[in-house]
Amino acid sequence: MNEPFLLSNLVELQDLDNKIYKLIASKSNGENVLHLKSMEINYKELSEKITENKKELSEFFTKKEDNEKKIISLELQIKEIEQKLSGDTLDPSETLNYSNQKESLKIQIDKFKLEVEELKEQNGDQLKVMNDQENSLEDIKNQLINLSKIVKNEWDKIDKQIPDLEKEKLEFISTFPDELKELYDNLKKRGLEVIAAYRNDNQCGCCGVELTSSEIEQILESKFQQCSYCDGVVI
Amino acid sequence: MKYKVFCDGASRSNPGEAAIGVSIETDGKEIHTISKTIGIASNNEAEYLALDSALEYCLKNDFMNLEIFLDSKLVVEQVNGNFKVKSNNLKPLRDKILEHIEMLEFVSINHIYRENNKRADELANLALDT
Repeated sequence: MNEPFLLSNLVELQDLDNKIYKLIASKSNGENVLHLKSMEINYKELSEKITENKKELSEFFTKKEDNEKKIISLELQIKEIEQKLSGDTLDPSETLNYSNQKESLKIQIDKFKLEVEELKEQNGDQLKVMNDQENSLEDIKNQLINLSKIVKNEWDKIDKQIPDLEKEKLEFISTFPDELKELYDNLKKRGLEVIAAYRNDNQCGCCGVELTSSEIEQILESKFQQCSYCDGVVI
Repeated sequence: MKYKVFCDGASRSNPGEAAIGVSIETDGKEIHTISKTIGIASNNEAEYLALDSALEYCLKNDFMNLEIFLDSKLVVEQVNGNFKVKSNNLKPLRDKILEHIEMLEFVSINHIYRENNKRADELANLALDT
């Protein structure tokens, strides 16, 4: 069975397996995939920071929202008053009364606006940090979308290549004698790092052990030219 | 500054008494060597440990731009992600190497033939012989 052609086919078969492995591995370890993973982590971390900041600023946001609602309601009241004032049905005392109400409402609006401004000033640093974080989050989000598309395209290409290689491998294996197929599968199942390799001077190409002349002779005489140290097929 | 790092691992049997040899060069001059025994190890473990020792030394000394050479195709291809790591004893070694590589600015791991890795081989065998 020391048929050099067939044994060297084991090396080619192993190369095909390695190519398939590399493609599968690149789906989880490719440069863009790793970049995407790290960006997702950044996105998550930043989102958590923003949530934390929002929690810390919850009093500010509640007060701001509350004041803004009040301002809208007051502005509506002012509009209604202005409508009444623009008509000609009011007598002078009503006109005066509404004018005073309008002024009082304006003062209240200014007060609420001032309160919001003061709160903004008090929390300015934290608000700025949060604003920057939100902008960064938006940037990361856009980058994530773009990178996801790139990764998806890469994966689509890989998913097309794998069946081709699997087919090539199956066709190739079909030319192997059964006992060589079995040998390859067994060595693969055993987790042998290199199943078949060419001898490098006196060194086993599979495990790298320096072989003596008698060991080389023994290997060459064995059925599948297997290294006595690692069981790999030495060609 | 760019450094050339030559690594080799040797074991008397597989597994057996093993040693590592590392030669670090810059501008064509050898600036550091490692030559030490590592106890009982397989050939592949010795190759990995040689690379590990080299990387640890380089990181410690801020050598961040490395061109690494090994004559073990297996280690080169596994570290470069072209071969699957099947043995459980090699996986942690490969992972450690990848962690080291992450910390470097630039690193390339290249395969060379034994005849071009004589110095590292000599250093590994020197440790085994003494």
